[in-house]
Amino acid sequence: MEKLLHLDAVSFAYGKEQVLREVSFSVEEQESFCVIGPNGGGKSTLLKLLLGILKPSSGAITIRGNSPMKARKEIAYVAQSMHYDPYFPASVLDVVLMGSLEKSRFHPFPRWSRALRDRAHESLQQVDLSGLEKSAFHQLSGGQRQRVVIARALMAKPSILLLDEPTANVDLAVESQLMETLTSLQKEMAVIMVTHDMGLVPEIGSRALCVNRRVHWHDLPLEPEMIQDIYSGVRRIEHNQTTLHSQGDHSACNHD
Amino acid sequence: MTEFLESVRVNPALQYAIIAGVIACVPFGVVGSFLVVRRIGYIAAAIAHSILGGIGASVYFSRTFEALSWFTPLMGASLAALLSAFLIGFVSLHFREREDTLIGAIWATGMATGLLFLHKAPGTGVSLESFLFGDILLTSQSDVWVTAIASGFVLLVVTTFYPRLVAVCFDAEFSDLRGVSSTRYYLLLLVLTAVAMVLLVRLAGIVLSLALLILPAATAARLFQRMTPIIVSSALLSLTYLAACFPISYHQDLPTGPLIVVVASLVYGLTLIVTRKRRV
Repeated sequence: MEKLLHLDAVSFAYGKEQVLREVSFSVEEQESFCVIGPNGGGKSTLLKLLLGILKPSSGAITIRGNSPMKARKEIAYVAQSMHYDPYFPASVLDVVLMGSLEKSRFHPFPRWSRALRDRAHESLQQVDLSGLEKSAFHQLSGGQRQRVVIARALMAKPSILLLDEPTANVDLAVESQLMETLTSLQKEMAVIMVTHDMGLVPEIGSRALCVNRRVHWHDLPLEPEMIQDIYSGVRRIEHNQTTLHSQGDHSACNHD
Repeated sequence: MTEFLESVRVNPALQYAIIAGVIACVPFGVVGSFLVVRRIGYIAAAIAHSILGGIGASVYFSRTFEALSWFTPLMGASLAALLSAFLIGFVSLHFREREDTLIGAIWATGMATGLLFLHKAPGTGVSLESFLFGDILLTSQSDVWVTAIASGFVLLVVTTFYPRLVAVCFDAEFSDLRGVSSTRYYLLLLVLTAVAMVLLVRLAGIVLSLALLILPAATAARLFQRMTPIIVSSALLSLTYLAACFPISYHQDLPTGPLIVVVASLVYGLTLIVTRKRRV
């Protein structure tokens, strides 16, 4: 059966610096998990590869059998809050409708189609923000703003929702609102969240993907020793030439 | 007022100035609003100042070489504005860490080149002051046509690409991921800025053009929370300033451009005070 997401021996290097080595794993429909690992371990590169921003040096990535570029509609992305202008003059509905933009589809000023507006209302419902359509985006709380951005990503009806540290720079109340939204979205799509916050890992799926040049799956909950292991020895793994098996390997990321 | 209206009736130059000013309010409102929300007013300033390079080159070449007598200051200004728009776009996309220095260099080099060309241009009658501070009363019939065509171009482009331009200004990274190239639309915005600047420099001069483009839009951005009302009210504010300041400048023998800038600044300052709790 065709996997939702499949990476087959994917490697990537920035010039001579090898960032990811022969990474292989698969993700089933509606399978959610967190991506963890030390800084410089290749998490951001992995995200960029999944989004089609970067192309693997070797190996292949397929989303329902297609390349990430061809499967753009299948995968939605939510960046950290600092990527957009929080004081931009737009209503909540305006921001969500931006999610319907596509290379091939034009929406000249001034009207969006009825179907797209309905879809935007639906997306806002999914993140529990119905009724705020006409509110000014900049007047929302930080948590509401992040949920609007998630609703924008949902406009494309993706099968995979990719989030890059969505809780970075937000307070605990905002974090809790966001996690509530993501928990409910896991029933509809695969939620893949990059995070450094180990406290959030158990809330997304039943295992976590550790990225440190190579990848390893870890069953949840993570033991404290395991977490310490994951976040230490970055340099050690950089020079580690021993063979590590990606798929099904339940050892720590930096295991020699 | 009656005297002013009578003067307008009998003086074609005044009629052309008013028609050109009214038409130009549309692109000023549109482009100014995008510059304010995208926070790139300094880029518009650099484009405006580099226009002098094009004007100077056109005056020099058209007077030095007979074969180039067709090279008018409008052509020179348009060429310099578009060239600096692309150059600035390239710099801000590829040399982000040196962006302010490089844009400052383009700004100063454009002006310096223009001054050198004007200094060496043969013949007399080159009024540097008219380029720097403009004179709306020198508007000709052909200026009205140029303003109308350029305004139509800006309006057509923005209407066609409006959602994409707004999306790119809000979140360039997301737009790229949706297949809408933020680079392409950022450059398009700079081209529109270049067109608006060429128009504005003819009417108000290099020094005052930025204030006329930015202040109405900045005032509107304090009052409204969506792009469309900001654009519309910015154009209407420009129109109001023109309608109010034109008769006054005519009666009191004051230059129109500086008077509009002073009034627009006062209104913006007042709006800032009244809406000081807002953070836009």
